Amino acid sequence: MSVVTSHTTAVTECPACKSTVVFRFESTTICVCTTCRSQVTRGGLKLGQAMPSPSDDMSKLRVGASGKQDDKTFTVTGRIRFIFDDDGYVNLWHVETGGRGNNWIAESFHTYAFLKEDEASYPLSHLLLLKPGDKFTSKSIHYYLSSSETKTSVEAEGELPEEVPEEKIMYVVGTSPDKLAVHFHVFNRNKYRAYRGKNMLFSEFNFSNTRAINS
Amino acid sequence: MKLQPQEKACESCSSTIKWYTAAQSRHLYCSKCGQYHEVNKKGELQKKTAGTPKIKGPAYTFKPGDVITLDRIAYTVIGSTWKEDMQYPEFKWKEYTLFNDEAGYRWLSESMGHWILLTELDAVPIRRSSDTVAIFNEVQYDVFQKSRSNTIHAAGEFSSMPLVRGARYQEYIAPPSMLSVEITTSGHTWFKGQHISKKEVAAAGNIESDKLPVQDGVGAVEPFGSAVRQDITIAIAAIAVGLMLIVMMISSSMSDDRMFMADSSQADSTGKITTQSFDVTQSGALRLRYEADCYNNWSEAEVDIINDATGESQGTIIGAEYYAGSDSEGSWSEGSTSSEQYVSSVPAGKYHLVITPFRGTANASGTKYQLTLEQNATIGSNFFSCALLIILAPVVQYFRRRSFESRRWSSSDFSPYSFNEEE
Repeated sequence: MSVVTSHTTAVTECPACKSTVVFRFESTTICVCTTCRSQVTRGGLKLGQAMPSPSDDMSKLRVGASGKQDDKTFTVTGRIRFIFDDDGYVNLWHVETGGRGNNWIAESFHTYAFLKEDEASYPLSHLLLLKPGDKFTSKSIHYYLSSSETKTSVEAEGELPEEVPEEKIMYVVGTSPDKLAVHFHVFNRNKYRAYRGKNMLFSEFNFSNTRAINS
Repeated sequence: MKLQPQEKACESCSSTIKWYTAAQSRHLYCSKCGQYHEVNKKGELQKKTAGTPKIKGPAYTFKPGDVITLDRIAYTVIGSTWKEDMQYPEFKWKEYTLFNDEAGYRWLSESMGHWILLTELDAVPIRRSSDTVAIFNEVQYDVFQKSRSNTIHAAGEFSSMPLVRGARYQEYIAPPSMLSVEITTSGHTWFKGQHISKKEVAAAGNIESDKLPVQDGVGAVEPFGSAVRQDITIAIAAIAVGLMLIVMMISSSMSDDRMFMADSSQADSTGKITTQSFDVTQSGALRLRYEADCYNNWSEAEVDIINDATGESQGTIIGAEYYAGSDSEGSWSEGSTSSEQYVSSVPAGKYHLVITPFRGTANASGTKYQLTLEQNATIGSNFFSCALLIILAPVVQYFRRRSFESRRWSSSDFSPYSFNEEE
């Protein structure tokens, strides 16, 4: 499997600790410094707060892992890990697909969804009223609200398309009867982003360069 | 291959606690003293009183660290829980959380010796008809339980504090499968369950089958014992009866084995008829047909079938009676002027008949009669006996299945069976 890598590897210096920060992927603008955990731009600016290194949650994925979705190869560039108030979590693995939008793999307790950022067309006021189990329709697809959790902390690593959000986030997941998924990130209850895609099994991604678990 | 755990020291008894799934499970129990701990972000154990079981645990069939191999995937048991239904606390079951680093999680439920393997669904079933059915992959599942559970004991590691009281759950069944949904304030999580036999559990856990709990009653999704579906049994029985009917009709229409006719004109001075000898060419049933001119009278004939060679006799009485008239309600009639009778199992050979007639009212009608004898007769009663036996199979199966389903649903609040009726 070919690995999607940048043709324009960029190197900059972390403004906080002076370590070298290397950008290997085209679609990213932020890299978490491996030394001091600062979020560094390609221009060498420090953004937001330092990101703790993600806890070891036995994920098989890691930065640099590659896979396939709809016969298109992708490579994992970085991860944001939201920890929720009920001790749940979601790993949002940003994947570079060769210029096909802002794509992510959402992973929670070894369940997976391949998602692409989409327009936020569902009315926010309706979204805020939804409860688990409620049916809603977005872009002509019927979903049922599977979960609605509140982020309590965030961790990050690798390269990401933008600064890691620090606001209060309500993480809402809708699932359809035919495995389609929509994830909403609601920021401070006044704006949100929508990510659409489908739920998939680990084996369906044909991953390579994954992390070996200690078995 | 077995998952290698991290090791932590119990904050209460210092025993080693094995931690298999790291940050996925921040709630750990000491297998030695049962102390409950939470793991903080630094990976340190913090013992907690709330969350430590107040009762002694049951005899779990599987313990954290055991390996269960399903579909050639080795899962490590990471947690065992003991639950009770909140409404019917006498109903208890155990659940084992299984983990494989690629396949993820599975849950094995053990209830009264019956086993169900559950997998989290990545799609949502559709609930219809006021939530009494759930449809998933075009299969209809009927509601079986809507209740709340208390987790009264736990061992191993968990993603959230397991000793939860009043957790809502709903179950829908289409044996050997089921759908289950756990309902919390933050989410609805759907699972698909599949009955797994005791033998399969023993093989998966590499333990002897007789070491597993004894089965009691009927499992929620235990398949009915018969390997043959009832509709197939009915179809086979219907085809068999149909074929028998066709064969009988063809045989009946093609048989022309009339041997002779005798009538009253051949009677001697005593009224008896002694026939000429005739050949019964093959062993089997003989059909006698009797017709008389009786009107408001009865007429009978005692027929002796006598073997010429041995002198052995088989006797029978055949007759007819017919009455008619009119009264205030109009005209009426009853009986018939003819009848048929079979004489079964007559061996091949040479025979003759001795016919002795009787009639009700002398000098009235019924003096004339005619007797016909045929061989190769098909006996309708044989057909009906066979048909009954064939039909008996699906009937017995139906009642066995009904009893089985009735026992299955006896633990449901949504049973379609009336238990007074069943008792």
